[in-house]
Amino acid sequence: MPGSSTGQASARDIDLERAVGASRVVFAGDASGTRIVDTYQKFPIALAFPGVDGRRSLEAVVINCSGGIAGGDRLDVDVVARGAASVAVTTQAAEKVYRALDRPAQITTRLSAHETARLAWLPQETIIFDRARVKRRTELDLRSGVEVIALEWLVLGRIDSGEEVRGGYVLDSWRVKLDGRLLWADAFLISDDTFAHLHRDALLSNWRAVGTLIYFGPSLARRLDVLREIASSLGCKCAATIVGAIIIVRLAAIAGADLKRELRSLLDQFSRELGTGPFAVPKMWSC
Amino acid sequence: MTAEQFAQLPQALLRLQSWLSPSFPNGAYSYSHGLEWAVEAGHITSRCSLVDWLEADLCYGSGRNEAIFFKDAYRSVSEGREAELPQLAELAAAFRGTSEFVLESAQQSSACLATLRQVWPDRILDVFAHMHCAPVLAVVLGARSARERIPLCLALPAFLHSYVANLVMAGVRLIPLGQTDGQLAIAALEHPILALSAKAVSATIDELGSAGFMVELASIAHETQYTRLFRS
Repeated sequence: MPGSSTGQASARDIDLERAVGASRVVFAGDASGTRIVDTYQKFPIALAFPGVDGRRSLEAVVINCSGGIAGGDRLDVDVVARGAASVAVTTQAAEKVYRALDRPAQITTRLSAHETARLAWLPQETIIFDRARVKRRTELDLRSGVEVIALEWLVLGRIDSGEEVRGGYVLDSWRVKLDGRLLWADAFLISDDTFAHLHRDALLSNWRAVGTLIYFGPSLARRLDVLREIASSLGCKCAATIVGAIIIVRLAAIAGADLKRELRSLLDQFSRELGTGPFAVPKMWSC
Repeated sequence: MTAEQFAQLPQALLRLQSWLSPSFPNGAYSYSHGLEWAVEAGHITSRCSLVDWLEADLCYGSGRNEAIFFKDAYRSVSEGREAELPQLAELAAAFRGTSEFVLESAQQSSACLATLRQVWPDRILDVFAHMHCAPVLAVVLGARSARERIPLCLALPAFLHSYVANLVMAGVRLIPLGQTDGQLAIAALEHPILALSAKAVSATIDELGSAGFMVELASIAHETQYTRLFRS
C-alpha cells in the first residue's frame, strides 16, 4: 500500500482530521451589470470578490485556507451564472496536493451557466507532490446561448525543487452537459503502475505540466481556426479540436512555469477574439 | 458453463471471429487512431517504436477505456442489467477526446450495428436504435458477445486483439514494415492484451481515464495533416 513503507504502517488518512470544505456562489446579471445573489462558504474554502457589485464583469476568487490538500480531504466548489451574468472565477494560489497515506482527496467543481451567461473558470495550477492521491471532477452544465471557458492544469512535482513524482494517483476528469445531455467526458489518469511508463512517447514523454481548456460559445468553426493559429504561436505543445459542440484545447510543457507563460499568451490572444468579457488572464495570476 | 452452452460455444466463437475479422465491413482499415501523424512526425519509425506506442496506449491510454466499456456492456447483459446499457453507451460515446476519434468510433460502430442487424439480429441491438449518438464498437460488441454467451475471458482479449491488430496493419502500411514484422508486432502485443483484459474485468467506470496525452495530440495534429491515407 502506498505510504506504508515509511514507518507509519498503521497510519491511514481516515484516522487523521481531514478537511471537508465547500463553497457555492450564484451570480445573476442584466444590462446594468452582474450581481452576487447567493453565497455559501464552509471552511477551509472561502470566497473573495475583489471587484464590486454591479460591474459589467465580476471576478471571484476561491481560497483554500488550509494551504493545501491531503489524502481524504473533500472540497466542493459550485459556481452558477444566470441571466446575462459575466464572471471570471479563479483560485488565490496554486493548489498543492500533498503526499497521501492511502485515501485520495476528492475535489469536485460544478460550473453551471444558464440563459446568456458568460463564465470563465480559470484556476491556477494544481501541483501534484510525490505520492499524492487525488480525484478531481469538473462538471459543466451548459445551456445553449451561454459562453464558457473552463481550464484545469496539473504540474507533476515541483520541477524547480528537483522533485520527481514516482507514485500516487491522479484522476482528473471532466463531464460536460449541454441542455441536459452528456456531450463530452474525459479523464486524465495516472496510477501507481503508470508512473514508470509516463516518459513513453505515446504518453507524456518529458512533459510534466499538462492542461485542458474547454470553450463553448458562438462561431465555433472560426474560433477553432483562431485557436489553431494561437497554438502554433506558443512555445509549448498545444492543439485544439472540436468534439460535439465544444472546443477542446490540450496543452503540455516540460515545467509548470512554461505552461503558465504559454497559457497567459493563449488567454491574452483568445480573449481579444472573444471581446470584452470575463475571458482575460485573471488578475490573481499575477499576485 | 452448462453442457448446452458448451455445445453452442464453437458456433459462438465462429461468430466472434466474423465480427472481429478485417473482412467485417466496418471500415476499420481506414482509421489509424493518430498513427499516421505519429509516423509522419517521427515518433514511430520501426517495429519496436510501433509496439511501444501501441502497447502504451493499450495499457495506459484509450485501449484500457475501451476494455472497460466492453466489459461493462458485456456484464450489463450477462447479469440482467440491460436497462443500464443506454447510459453506458452514452458515456462511452462521450468519452472521445478528438473530432477524429469521434468519427472513427461513430462510423465503425454504425456500420457494425447495421451488419449485425442484417446478419446476426438480436433484440439487444434494438437498445441502440433510439440513441441520439452512435454507440461505440466496444459497447455494441460487448453486449452482442454476451448474448452469444461467449465467455468474457475470451471475448474481451479477442476484441482488444482486433483493435490493435488493425492499428498494427496501419503501421505496416505507413512506416512501412514487412508483413512478418507486422505479425511480430501483433505477437509482441499478445501479453499486454491478456494483462489488460485481466485488469479491466475488475475496473469500474469510475476508473476510466487515460495517460495517452500524446496519442490525443497526434489525433488532433492529424486533422490538419497535409497528405493523408487514413481518416483518423
